[in-house]
Amino acid sequence: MRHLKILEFALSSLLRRRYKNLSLLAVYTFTIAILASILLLTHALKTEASRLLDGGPELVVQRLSAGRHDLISTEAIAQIRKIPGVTEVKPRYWGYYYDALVEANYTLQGIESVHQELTMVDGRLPAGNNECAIGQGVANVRKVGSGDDLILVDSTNTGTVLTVVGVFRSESELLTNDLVVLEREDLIRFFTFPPDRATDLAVKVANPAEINTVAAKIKRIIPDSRPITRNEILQTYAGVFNWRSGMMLTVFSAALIAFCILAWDKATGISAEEKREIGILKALGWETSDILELKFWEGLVISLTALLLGILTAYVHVFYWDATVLAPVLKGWSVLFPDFRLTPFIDFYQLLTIGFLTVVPYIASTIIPAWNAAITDPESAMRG
Amino acid sequence: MILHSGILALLCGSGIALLMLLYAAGLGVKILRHWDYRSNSEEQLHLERKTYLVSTIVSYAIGFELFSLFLFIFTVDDIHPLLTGAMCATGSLNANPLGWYALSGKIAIFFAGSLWLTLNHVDGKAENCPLVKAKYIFLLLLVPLIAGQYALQTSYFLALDPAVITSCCGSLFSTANNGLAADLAALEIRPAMAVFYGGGLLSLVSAFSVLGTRAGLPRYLCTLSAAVFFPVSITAIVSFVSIYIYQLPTHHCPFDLLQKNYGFIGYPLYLSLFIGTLFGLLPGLFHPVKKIPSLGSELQQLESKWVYMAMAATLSFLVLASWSVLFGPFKMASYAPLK
Amino acid sequence: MDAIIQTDKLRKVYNGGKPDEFLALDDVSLMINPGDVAILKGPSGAGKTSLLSLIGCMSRPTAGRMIVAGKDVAKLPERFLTRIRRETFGFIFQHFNLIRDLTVLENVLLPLYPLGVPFGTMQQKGMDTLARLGIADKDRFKIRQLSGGEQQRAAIARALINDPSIIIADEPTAHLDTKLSIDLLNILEMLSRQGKTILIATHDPLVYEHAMVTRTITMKAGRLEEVLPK
Repeated sequence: MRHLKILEFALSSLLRRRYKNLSLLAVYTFTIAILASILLLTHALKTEASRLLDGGPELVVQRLSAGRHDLISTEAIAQIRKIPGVTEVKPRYWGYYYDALVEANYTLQGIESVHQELTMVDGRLPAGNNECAIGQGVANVRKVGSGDDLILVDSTNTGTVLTVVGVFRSESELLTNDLVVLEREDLIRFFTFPPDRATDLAVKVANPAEINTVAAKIKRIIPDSRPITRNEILQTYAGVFNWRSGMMLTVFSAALIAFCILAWDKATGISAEEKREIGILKALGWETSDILELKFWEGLVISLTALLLGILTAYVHVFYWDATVLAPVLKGWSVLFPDFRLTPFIDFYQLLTIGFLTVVPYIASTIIPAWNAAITDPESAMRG
Repeated sequence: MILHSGILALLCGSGIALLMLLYAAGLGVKILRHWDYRSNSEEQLHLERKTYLVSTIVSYAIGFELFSLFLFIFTVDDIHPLLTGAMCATGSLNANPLGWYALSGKIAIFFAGSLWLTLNHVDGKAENCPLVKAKYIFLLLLVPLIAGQYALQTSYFLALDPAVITSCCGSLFSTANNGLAADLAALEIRPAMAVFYGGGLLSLVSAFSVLGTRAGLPRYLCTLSAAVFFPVSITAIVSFVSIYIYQLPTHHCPFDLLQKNYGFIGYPLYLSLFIGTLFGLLPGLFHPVKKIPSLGSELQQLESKWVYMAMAATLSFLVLASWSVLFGPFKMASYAPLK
Repeated sequence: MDAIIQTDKLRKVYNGGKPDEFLALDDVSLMINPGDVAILKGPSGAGKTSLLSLIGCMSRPTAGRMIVAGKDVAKLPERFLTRIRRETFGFIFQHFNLIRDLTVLENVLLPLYPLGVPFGTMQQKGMDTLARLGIADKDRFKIRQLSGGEQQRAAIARALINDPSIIIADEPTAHLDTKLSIDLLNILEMLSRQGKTILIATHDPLVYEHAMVTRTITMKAGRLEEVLPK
């Protein structure tokens, strides 16, 4: 009961000095919003990346030549198939294409290499020569749709005309946004692949616990190969995103320190009116610990309000406005800047992290000013 | 070092808490040197006011440390995908030798910090603040502990290297392995149960006996049994409680209990254990304080509350631990772990 | 009859040890009996407010003893001093010291907030006290919406909410016109008849020449000059 009444007084006290508290709340909310945006965006990108890889093969085998990725011989398929635990080996045909017209990179993929169920917006997958299905990003940037022609220029400067028969809309737009799917023969012809070569091999392993062992065996059988496990890719993505978000957070720390100085200043600059009020309360029988509790509630109300508003703002910013402010730093390398929607996700751990990075410094900045206010002499009320 | 937001939050929050405590300790030294409750000088009044500041700072700092225990566990769990071979928090903690020490340090701070808060609370009940000196000496001992733990925590995170392969709970708690964890997991279940329930019963009975008498012996016994029951409970969780909850005879990990797929059962389980242990420790530790005349009766009242809390929490813990054993679909009749 | 307030060689020094050190009270020994209406007279700077602060347990004396309602309070830490102050005293300040943006009822109930009194009981007590002073209908009005007289009554209601045995008033009529001053004195007289001990520091002859006064204490330069009756 006592705590509730003190809380009630804290709320009315905050309202009585609303301009000062609103300005503090605004800056606090903004600080939290930036921080939360960084964390939410990083997490969402990490989740997207892992979803992207989910349907893919556990193991991808590439060939290295002079330290760089080169086409792999299809003879390796039989060798790998013999390894116990391997259930399937499929050659994948794909490559990158730079479209000078719009300065974008597409991923060209042979139809059998497509490994996920893809929902079509309209049309179908290519069923014959000179047909293709494209991702939403390609469609937008080249302004083509089903029934239109897509012209790609190969290495001999010859144009290839492909009829768009379908446009993708996948659950994970990050996967298909820059995708152009065509018949295998068309792709081989376009990139002038030798007949016994593929871009890489997709290997399915029955028991996930054996992936690393199989990868080691492949490396032994085919010394110039590079087996890449799905886990390794995930780790790399996670590492990169963490690193980027960590960098941003470190920069953000400067903003946080500035905010703490502001908080300290506001708390110390207690108005004469507020000091008078505390003097009155002390004179009326409120103990120093009661005043400290009052200050605690004030700080908590402001912190939680800022936390709530800040996280809401960050949520809207990241998931509805596509993180316009932050995206360029975090997405970085991405080939075609797709206009995709991230899947909204937030959990308690993120809230705890955000709380620790913001509420803790705020409270630390305001403890001493709060105490200074709390030890106001009750006698001051007598002297007016 | 892994630049992860949770790690930054931990280092930032714990760092701030440590700085606050160092400041409080500085004030504490001043108070210790000049405190004279009989004096009416302005300096004494100043010191009295400073005690409020110290109490507030230390309360907040210890509050942060308690939350940071959760954040620590969450974080080591969250970073496990980044470490080769780690499949849960155990793997992350195994990644370098400091991990388990950092965790133990945090648990030690939970208890030491809570004891300080209790001492502070008790001191406030008497008009002449008889425990001021004891309180601030304790604070001066607490601060190096927290500083040490901060150093451990920081070193642990700095030394994390994603390329180093770590072993996970599957192998750490495997009966075929060597080491303490493996030994815990390999304990025969029936004897382990006997010790666990025996210890639990002893804790409850000794706590209850405190209520009926003013003698010191039941209180010391209560404290001792609480202190012993804590490691016994952790052992029991690793040894058999976990396998009933996971319904898998080889899964002994103490951290997976905190995951969503097990209904977050770990939280109420560990929370009740920690609270039960904390309140169980108090009667014996504070019994000597009753000699102070200004505190005698107040302490008596407080003590009853502690005992009720201890009994309630310990009972909840026993119920939660036994639920899956008694009512779960998994049965372990005469299973003997392989050596 | 045991004195309700007893001081023995009270001494109060402000800013001790600093360049602006100031001796406010020196060697003040007096006794106030239950039911007394005592007046503190003297020029500005005589130490009236300092003495009231000490007696009202708002600050601690530098030296000397002080017994209030049977308890030795001179050396109590602030926390316990506050409790005694809360339970024993009601204060009427010179400038009312009401919080202008709170309602009358909220102001009156402020002393009860930290006590953990159940909500219903609190409301009841507040309304009863306001009714005793004839302003129960103004309970939801903000202070700045009240007239001077109504504010005065609100301030008195706040002083009475904890049912204190001692009322302390510091220059209560300094900012009031004659009519309001007489109103105030009537209320104080009523409280005196109810058995409350009243301590008033004042310059105002309207107050110190009032019939209800039982004891007059004259101060000068921090010392007692005269106490009547002896």
